[in-house]
Amino acid sequence: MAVTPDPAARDSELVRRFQAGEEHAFDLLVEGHRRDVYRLAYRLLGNHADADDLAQEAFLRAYRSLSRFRGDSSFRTWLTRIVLNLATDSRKDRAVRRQVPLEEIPIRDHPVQPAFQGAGAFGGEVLQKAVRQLPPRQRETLILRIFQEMKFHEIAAVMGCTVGTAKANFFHALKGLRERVRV
Amino acid sequence: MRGTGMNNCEGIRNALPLLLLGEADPPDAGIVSVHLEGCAACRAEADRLRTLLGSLTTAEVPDPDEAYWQAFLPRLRSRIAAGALFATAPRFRLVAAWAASVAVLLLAGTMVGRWSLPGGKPAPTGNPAEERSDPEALRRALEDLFPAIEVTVTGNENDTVGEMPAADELEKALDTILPAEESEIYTQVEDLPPDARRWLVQALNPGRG
Repeated sequence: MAVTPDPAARDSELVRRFQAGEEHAFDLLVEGHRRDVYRLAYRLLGNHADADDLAQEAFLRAYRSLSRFRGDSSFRTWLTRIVLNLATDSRKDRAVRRQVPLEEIPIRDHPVQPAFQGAGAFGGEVLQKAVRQLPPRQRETLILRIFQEMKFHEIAAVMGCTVGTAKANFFHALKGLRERVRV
Repeated sequence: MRGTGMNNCEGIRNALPLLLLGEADPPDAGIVSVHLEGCAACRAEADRLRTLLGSLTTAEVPDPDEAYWQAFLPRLRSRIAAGALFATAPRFRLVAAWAASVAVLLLAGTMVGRWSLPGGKPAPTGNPAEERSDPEALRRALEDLFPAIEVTVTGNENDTVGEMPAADELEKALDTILPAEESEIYTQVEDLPPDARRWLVQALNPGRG
């Protein structure tokens, strides 16, 4: 019977192989994480162009630093931290960039699996705007928990805070969202 | 959080997010469930929170098509290769790797010699620097880097491309050939500083500006 490898164990093996000199191992890491990284970047920055830039830059930085990665956290946690740091830098430094309107992005249809009953009561744009208006730490915590489906101890590791602080940020984020969308 | 502050509605409502996410400790989940059975106000609160969380989870990111994903790794590899040449230029940002790739190609073309007119393509020499001086080879190389852009490279024996502009001018110049619509390329070029514009326009299409 085939055994599905644990993603974290697979990543650890690929990191080990890259650090041993196998360049192709990095390609496999990219292919395994690129969609998640892009989606996180999109949720943080709000448009395709910036998400693409950030995703590429995140992997570029990961490539440059991967030889020094010690495995204190999972590769996914480490990569997510890079994305968040870049998004923070982007918000601080960048002027208004060109944006590709959503309707110009070729979109592939795929089914959405709602995790909750009564899903979809609010339009995507309303919620996306409300999420973007949250304070950065709250927004990042919300995105990591809801969209990246990270556990709070993983979020704490990514954001360099305690589990309690991660939970508090999340609760405040939900409260802030509710005030903005009038729930 | 076990049992702490769970003896009133405020405590119960604080516990709802974790419960709805499936992360509440079992004793807390039990306490909340029992409370909800007897408290209409907290049940309504749970419903509102459930609706909000449901809306969040269904707010999908527009997914780029397969062509984007197929190009993702090759583009990244190009940036990695280009970044290795400019590792000491801290001002280079996200466009820098691509800019550096193009800069290397164009600089190689100018260093080897003036470009010949189209139609007189030299035979491949096996020397990358000499082959890049061929306008057709340069055009293909640029189009490999910027597949959405049709590049015209022509030469004039009396034209030479000037010195490469500073890093930030180069970044800005090449940033203009990455817009979503190709028709914006030449109008945006008009806004560049004169030296950057002259360099870029001559490099990509010497017949203009």
